Amino acid sequence: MREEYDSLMTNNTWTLVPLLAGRKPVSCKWVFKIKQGANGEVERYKARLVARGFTQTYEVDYNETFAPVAKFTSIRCILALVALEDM
Amino acid sequence: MEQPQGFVHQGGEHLVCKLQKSLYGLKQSPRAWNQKLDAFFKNIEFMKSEADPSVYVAQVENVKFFIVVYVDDLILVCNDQNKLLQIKEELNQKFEMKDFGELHFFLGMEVERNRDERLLRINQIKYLKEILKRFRMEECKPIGVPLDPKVKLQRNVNGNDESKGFPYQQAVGSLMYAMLCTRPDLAYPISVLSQHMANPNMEHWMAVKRIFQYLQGTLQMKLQFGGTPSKEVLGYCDADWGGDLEDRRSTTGFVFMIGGGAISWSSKRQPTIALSTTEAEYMANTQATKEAIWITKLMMDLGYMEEKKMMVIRCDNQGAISLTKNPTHHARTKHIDVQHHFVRERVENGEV
Repeated sequence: MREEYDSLMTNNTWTLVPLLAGRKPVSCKWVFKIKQGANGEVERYKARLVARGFTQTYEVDYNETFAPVAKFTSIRCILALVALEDM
Repeated sequence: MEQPQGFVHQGGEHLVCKLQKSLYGLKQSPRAWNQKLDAFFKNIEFMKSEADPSVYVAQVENVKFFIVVYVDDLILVCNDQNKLLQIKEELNQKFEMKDFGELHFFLGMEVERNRDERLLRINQIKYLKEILKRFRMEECKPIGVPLDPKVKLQRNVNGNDESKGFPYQQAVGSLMYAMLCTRPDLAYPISVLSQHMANPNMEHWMAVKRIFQYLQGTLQMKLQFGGTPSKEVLGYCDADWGGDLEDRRSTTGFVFMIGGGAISWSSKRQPTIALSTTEAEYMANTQATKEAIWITKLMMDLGYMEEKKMMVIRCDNQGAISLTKNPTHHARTKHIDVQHHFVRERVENGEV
């Protein structure tokens, strides 16, 4: 957890400011995960700070969310070319 | 954002965190990540494909380089090993990345290659076994045809909810994913079953089980690319006529291939009723043309077509073919809606 917090700090993820009047802060929480190796042994304990995005409201807290993902057709198209061109 | 639990600033408990970067879980996180990646690719002189904004292309003389982005999974394709290593290095410096070597597994698809024969096959055997197990069909008897030709599925009009308790929607959804990735043969059955998502009855559920049985019998089938020298894109389209017994709408089907490997397919009930087979096929031509134009654009972005070249779409209805070629106008065609004449315009432009 310390590790994750330090990494957030070194990346300057946020600055502390007073809350604007009439706005609600987004809550956040720590999520803990135990990373297991192939045989089920504990590899390391991992902590990640997540924002609770579902408490956000459209156009108040955010407006653009579209992120493109590849179409299966384009993936197949490229794979077909890979096969033909021997890339 | 609230200050994280356990790390509240001493003496500043009333303060909140103003985020400068995005954090896992925010609504805008995926967008922020994509913007960052996009800026990086532009920086190293990659062009974003217009046809598919998640494909990036760079081409210097004979070296071709493609990158396909699926959120945080990337596929790198290059015909020059050194360039490939160089880009990998740059990606690694900027982001923490794992290199899985040659492509074997992507989004539940397994990829296998035979470089000697220039073949590449994709399959989803693992995924299919998983869904067979999930719906307790792993021991079912295999069957050769995905839909019973004797059964015409009807809408569940009397509202029997006998199929409540069957995971109909989940099952069709799981099958749909398989269809979208590697199974063009399921396109029609899935399109039929999807029409009953809202109100399935026992008959529909039996049809779903039949598809699972069909999958059991065809589990090992793979989609194959390569093996021919031609890089030509070829399209086929067809339509039934009045196949839907209740509203008599027809179904469009098309498939596009590159060098013998299917890359794009669809089966869809038409939005309006066709009065003749010619008309149904004519509408199918329009759908296929739309796809053809998109594929042409993608191929151009990838540098495989110098300029707009004619794409061949094969269709088995003489009436529809002549209708696309000649702007004849007579009693039997005068009602055809404007949008369907799209294909005629494209034929005039020499695109298909």
